[in-house]
Amino acid sequence: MISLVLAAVVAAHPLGNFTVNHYNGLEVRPGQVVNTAVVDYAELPTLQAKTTVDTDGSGTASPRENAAYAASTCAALARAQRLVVDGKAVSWQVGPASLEYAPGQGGLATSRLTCPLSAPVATTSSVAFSDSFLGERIGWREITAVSEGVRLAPSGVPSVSTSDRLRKYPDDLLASPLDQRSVTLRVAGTAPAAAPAPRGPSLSGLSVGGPIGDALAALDRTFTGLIGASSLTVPLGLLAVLLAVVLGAGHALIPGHGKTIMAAYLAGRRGRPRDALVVGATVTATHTAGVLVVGLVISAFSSLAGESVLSWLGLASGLLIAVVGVRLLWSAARGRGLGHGHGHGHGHGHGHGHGHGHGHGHGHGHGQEERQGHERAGLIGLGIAGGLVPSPSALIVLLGAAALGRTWFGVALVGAYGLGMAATLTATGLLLVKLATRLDRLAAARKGMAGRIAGLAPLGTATMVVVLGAGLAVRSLAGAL
Amino acid sequence: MSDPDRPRGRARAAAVLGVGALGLALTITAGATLLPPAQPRSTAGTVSGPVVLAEAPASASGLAQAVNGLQARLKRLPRDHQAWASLGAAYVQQARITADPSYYVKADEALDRAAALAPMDFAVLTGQAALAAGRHEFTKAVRLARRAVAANPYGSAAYGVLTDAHTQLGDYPEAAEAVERMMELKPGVASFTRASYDAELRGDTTAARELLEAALRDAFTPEDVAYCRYYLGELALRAGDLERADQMYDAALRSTPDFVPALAGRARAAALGGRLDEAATGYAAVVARLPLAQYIVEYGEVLTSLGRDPGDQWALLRAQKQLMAANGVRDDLTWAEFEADHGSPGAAVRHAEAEYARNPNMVAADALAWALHKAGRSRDALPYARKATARGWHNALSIYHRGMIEKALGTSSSRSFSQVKLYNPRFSPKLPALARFS
Amino acid sequence: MELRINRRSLIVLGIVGALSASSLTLLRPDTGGASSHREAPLIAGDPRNDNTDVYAFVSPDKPDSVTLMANWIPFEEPAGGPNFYTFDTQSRYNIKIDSNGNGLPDVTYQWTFRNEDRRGNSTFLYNNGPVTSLDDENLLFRQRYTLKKFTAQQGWTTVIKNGVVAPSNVGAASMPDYARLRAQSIQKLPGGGQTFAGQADEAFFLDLRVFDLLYGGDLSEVGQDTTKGYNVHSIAIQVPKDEVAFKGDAKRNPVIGIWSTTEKWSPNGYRQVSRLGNPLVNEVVIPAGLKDTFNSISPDKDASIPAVVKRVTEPELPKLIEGIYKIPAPKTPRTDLVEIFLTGIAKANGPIKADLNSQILNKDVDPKAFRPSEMLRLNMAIPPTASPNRLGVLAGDLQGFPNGRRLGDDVLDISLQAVEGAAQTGKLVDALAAGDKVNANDKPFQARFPYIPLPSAVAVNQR
Repeated sequence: MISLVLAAVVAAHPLGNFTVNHYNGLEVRPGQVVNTAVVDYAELPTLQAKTTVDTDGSGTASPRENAAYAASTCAALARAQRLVVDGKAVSWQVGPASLEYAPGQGGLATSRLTCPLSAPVATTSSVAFSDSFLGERIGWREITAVSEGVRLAPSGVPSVSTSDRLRKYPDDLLASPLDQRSVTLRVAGTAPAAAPAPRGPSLSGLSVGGPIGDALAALDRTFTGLIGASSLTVPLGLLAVLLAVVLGAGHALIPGHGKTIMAAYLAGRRGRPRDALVVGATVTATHTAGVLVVGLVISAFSSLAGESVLSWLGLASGLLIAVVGVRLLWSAARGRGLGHGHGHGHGHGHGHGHGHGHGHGHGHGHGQEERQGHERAGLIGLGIAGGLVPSPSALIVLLGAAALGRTWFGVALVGAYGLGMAATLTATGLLLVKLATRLDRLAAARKGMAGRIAGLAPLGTATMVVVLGAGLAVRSLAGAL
Repeated sequence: MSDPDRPRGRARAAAVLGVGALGLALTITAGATLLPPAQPRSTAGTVSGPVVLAEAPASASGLAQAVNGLQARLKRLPRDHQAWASLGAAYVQQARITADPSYYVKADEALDRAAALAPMDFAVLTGQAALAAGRHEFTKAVRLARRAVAANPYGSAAYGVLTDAHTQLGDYPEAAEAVERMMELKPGVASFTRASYDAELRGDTTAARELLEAALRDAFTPEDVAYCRYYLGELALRAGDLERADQMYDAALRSTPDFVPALAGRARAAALGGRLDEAATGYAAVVARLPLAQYIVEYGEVLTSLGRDPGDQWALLRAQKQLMAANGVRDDLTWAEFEADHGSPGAAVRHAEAEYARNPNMVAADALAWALHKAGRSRDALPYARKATARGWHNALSIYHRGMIEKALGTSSSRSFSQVKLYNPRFSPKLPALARFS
Repeated sequence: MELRINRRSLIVLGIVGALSASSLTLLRPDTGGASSHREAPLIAGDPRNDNTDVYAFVSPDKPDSVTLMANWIPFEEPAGGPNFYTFDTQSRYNIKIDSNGNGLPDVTYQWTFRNEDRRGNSTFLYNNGPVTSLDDENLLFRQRYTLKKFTAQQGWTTVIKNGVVAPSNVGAASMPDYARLRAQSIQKLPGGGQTFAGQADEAFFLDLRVFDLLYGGDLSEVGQDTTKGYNVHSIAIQVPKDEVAFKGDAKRNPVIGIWSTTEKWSPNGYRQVSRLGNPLVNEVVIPAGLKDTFNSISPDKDASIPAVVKRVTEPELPKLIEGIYKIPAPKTPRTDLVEIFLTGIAKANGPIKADLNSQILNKDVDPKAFRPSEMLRLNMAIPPTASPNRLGVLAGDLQGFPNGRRLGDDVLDISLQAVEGAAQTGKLVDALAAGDKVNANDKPFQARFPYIPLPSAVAVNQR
């Protein structure tokens, strides 16, 4: 009984049954301005809209009627909002609108309209925004502003919604309902932001603290700042490229990028120096390609949040590693159980999907050759996994350069950045190979316990690769959803 | 090691892999596009501090600014009970101006904080009294206001609450006494508007107008200016002078462009002037802005006069009733009047009796009389109709009701009907809600 | 076992009780304004009738005359258009002088205002072009005033019939030479002297947050002039000393008490709604619950209200300062404060060993008729000093507060020192020497009447 009463009371609209509440989440990106507009209608305004929604007069609103109403209301909302970018009025393009109902007080419903709005326009100096949609009705009015790839001067509006986008209104006696109807965002310089929108853990990996981390962060800022330099001279450009190499190298030092996995792989498979080179080259190629593709896609699709793409790429990277790990595990198990020389003719079944052709029918040394082919495929897979998730700063550099019409310069910088990464990873790989060889010799010299452990190494490392890959995938999945 | 095929194979592999990576990236990007963008997880970023305004005393600026100043002060000095009390009173005032009842909750909490610090302080008691009156708890309001007066005999605001509450409780002599004292202590818009209402209820429309004009001269904030002009308009409207009423409503809107009562006033004047289509458009805008029960009923009556279906408006009204019931609020007066005119007379009687038992004022007496009459109990109705009209109030609707009751009883009703014509030549029995004094 | 059951059932009972209690509070009606009942405004802003400060000093450039000044309308935002601040045309603005110490006015100067509005309904603008003189055609709105004087001997006489109020300063584009407009607005008085009414800079400088002490705050956040950049409406009058001295003789009777009041029109006659003498009286002298009473009565009734006297003799501020700064509060009852705020300083009145500014020092005054009352007291016989000290009497500069009040007196720091007993001991309390850390007005005072700086035309938050 009591809980029933409580439920009924708790369901009351916190801002009163009369209110229509507005949220505008602005996001300024290099090539566009995006607004996630949310309108929260309390019980009475929801009821007042009912006859307009229910066009066929059936007494209930069908999904089709709701969709039509949402679309037309979002269009009206877009018309009632004024967006002025760099002094020129711009009109919103309305994305897929949605209308949801929630049970309210007194057996009535409340409703929530979401309008994804975007305007494909590059901002160089300012974004002025004002919202007069249902301006005369009482209610909460909130604006937030974030940016990605563009640095904004402090505007007076927060970056995070205090009401969780009209889901939870703060209950503060010393705060009046927000009444933020307009805001002017100013671009601070033309430099892209060093610290753009908040992003998921899969993207930045672990941050590095201490003096090294600080130095890297400073370098990072210098680098991203270089893109926006008002006049680009040849020495400045070269300096930027050099910096990009250093930064890439530094970036690869930060935990992540499959270094642990690579280490485990190389150690477990008794890799050679060449293998380290293969990983480095693949990372560079994948990273550069990945940044270019993601950059292209993000600027082409307005409603896309960069962080979500990166999360999904992280997921793919994790899955790829896991696949490599499973393959390793399989071959390790087979290697132990069946011994050598029985691998003939089995090569076909494994390589598919990776498309690597290996020499068939080469008579002698077949088994070893095949094993090497497998190994290389695994290495390349790991390289791809390591380079698949673009580094945020590389992405910012590319987007910033594109926004300033210096796309090729941006591409060059991204390439240099990848080169730097490759250098570090290769160096690490070489170091590991050396280390592994030593260990191997040690194991060969002393049979017994150590030898048995060394013999078990492939199985152990393979398991480790699977676990790490799966972990990465799960973490990215959590970030993506 | 020396396999000639190897380099070629590696290049091919790399190319295929590159294409594969590209395709994968595209596929994943497309997948992400179809899914809703993830919420920002980190709150790191711009941290904008609260905008600290210069702390101006409440008298120097508008209400919103006063509230801002008090909030800033209380963030610094959470133990200032006077500031909490002022904030509570300001929230009550905001509830009145915006018709947003959520301010009452805030006022309640602020006054609780004040009372915890200084329960017997006059400012705290006055704030609590004002809140009780805002919530229609008039007996409680009187009790609290009396205690405030005892704590500070020179405080004018407590006399203001006392005036309001006594008026609603039908204690007109006490109300007149309180407002007289209030005017002694603090002549100005707050006391003049109350004195004007007191004069109006006595039937002294000239004094009522003069006092409102004095209040208008004294009014400083745009909201107060709009309030005075609006009630000057209402006085004219109830006397049948639609032209002057329109002028006053327009003047009110000049000082406060979004003053909803004046927008409703314009629609009312249009309806009574026979311009029903214009009135309906006006009411539609008013109800879209602020769906108060009073506006909804007026709109419904205009729609009925136009031969249109008022069903949507009545549904809205019923929703309000559900909401109020869910919030534990009783609004019997609105329902007594509505059911008598447009619904079930039996229900009207129940509501009217409940209302009259709580607040035996002239409006409740009229509602009860009319409900009883509609329910076929005209004989029972007559004493209440007499009570509703005994003080000489120029309320054409009450006198029309009395006339109808007298007519039903076969007694002389000609005096009542001639008074209706005298007080308000534009009175329309088809639009009773529009003749209701508020 | 039984014990455990009991305990458990008690807990369950407690939870149920708490739940029902909370659901009851949640169920309290939170809407109420649903049905129509007429709700008039309750707390109406009325700054036009709000007294802010009173000043009284021997004119530094005309030592044979005294200057009295009072300000209204606190916190005028300079960019206040298009409806600029004005005097209330329904009110009477008074400066009152008690020269015999009985708490009743012996001389009253009264200003009343009327509007001259040529804007019509077509424009809200104050002016439609540059205003270069007070009678400029472009000035569409101006206020005029009548100045009346009351004395017991002569009753009411009209001194000025058609004075012009110095307009609100609407900026250099509209008023290229505001100083000229100010100069033109000064009216000569018949029989010597001059008067001024109009907008001016808020000359009071202080950090109001000092009084956070009274509400549980401390002195950690001071040093910011709360009133900086705002304007007020000022009324000033400069008259020969003899005109306000008892029996017209400033030599024998040099002490006067000064306060200002505002009276508002009501259908039953004018009512006093505001009164001011000493600065910071609400913070130091009058308890909050008596503020309305104090504003309504005349000074002769002050002593009959025990709470007023008690607040002065048992002040709250020193106790709070003791709690925070460990500066011992002086022993009560504080008869020294009674002298400063209610009687004026004279050996006959209390412990302060000086004869400074009580009407009881006037030679022709009947000591038996003397009544303690709150007003600003000035001994006009003390000549103006060339180098005034902001701490006034406490720093040995007898020309300053609490002997009258000059524009540059740091009344907040003086009051803080005074409540800590500095007037009685003759020594400043070092721990509070910094006071509110606001020691002077942001704009310099003028050398000639009305001394108060010209009004600002720059919005406060744009400074």
